[in-house]
Amino acid sequence: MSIDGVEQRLLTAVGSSSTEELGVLNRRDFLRYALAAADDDYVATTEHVPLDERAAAPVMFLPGILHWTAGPHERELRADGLAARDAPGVTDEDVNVMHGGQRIEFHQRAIEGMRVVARRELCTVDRKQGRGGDFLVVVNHTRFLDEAETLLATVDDTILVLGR
Amino acid sequence: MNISVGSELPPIAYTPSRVQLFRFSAVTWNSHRIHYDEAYARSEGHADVVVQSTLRGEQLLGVVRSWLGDRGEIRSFEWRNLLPAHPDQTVTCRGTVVALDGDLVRITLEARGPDGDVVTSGSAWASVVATGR
Repeated sequence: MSIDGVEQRLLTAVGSSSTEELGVLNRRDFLRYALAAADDDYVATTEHVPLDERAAAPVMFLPGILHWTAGPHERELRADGLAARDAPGVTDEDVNVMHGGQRIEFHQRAIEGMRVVARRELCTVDRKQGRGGDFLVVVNHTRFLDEAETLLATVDDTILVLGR
Repeated sequence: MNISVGSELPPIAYTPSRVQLFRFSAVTWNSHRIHYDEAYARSEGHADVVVQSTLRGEQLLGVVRSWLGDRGEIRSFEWRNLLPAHPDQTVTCRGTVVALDGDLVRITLEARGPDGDVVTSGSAWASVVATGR
């Protein structure tokens, strides 16, 4: 089955970690995110924050952004449009990848002007049986910190890898 | 803010449009084709393009955000998708207070699709400013 190879690669990667520089948070990105999420209350409030004050990010801004860097060329995307980083361990297998949910703890509000880093770790890979066959449940843990190493949020993302 | 176990938060109905899905993929830099390429989404077995997972999380938490306003802070939130959601279909998000612990309130959350099926479930903890609870 096509998820066998994915499972083996992911199991060998459990515990691996990386650090990603997310850059400096800015109000335009906050507002774009809130507008796309139809968070009208946030938009109405933040549009009136004076420019010499620092606006707070939408609550789900850090956990909600998939890519912070420029990302890969289009020719480097998988057939399903995902970047290799979105589906670690998944190469050219005939599998479907879906995000299944999140567990988030909010510690400090992210604020305009903060320089943020994300520390990511592949935590667990579990094989489950479903109606459509076996699938993998992959959990990635991310810690978002500011430049002073203050913890802003922790996020466990659940990724599902399903055979086609 | 009068809160007791069993209190229901005002529900919110969302009907994501295809334009909203495009904009959410753009701002989150999510190029997964199931969100904008209908033919591709169907090839993966979906009925249509699929609402982004984290947008669904946003919608579910929106019930708590809207209810809480500036009277408190969301401390934690967990949610999972149980069924796919598609654009132009209305999803209604609801929350119920299930526990109180000091200034903390635990809320269970669910989103139901047009057929009444639960498509997303979750829960949140929020700290609430104690004003007449």
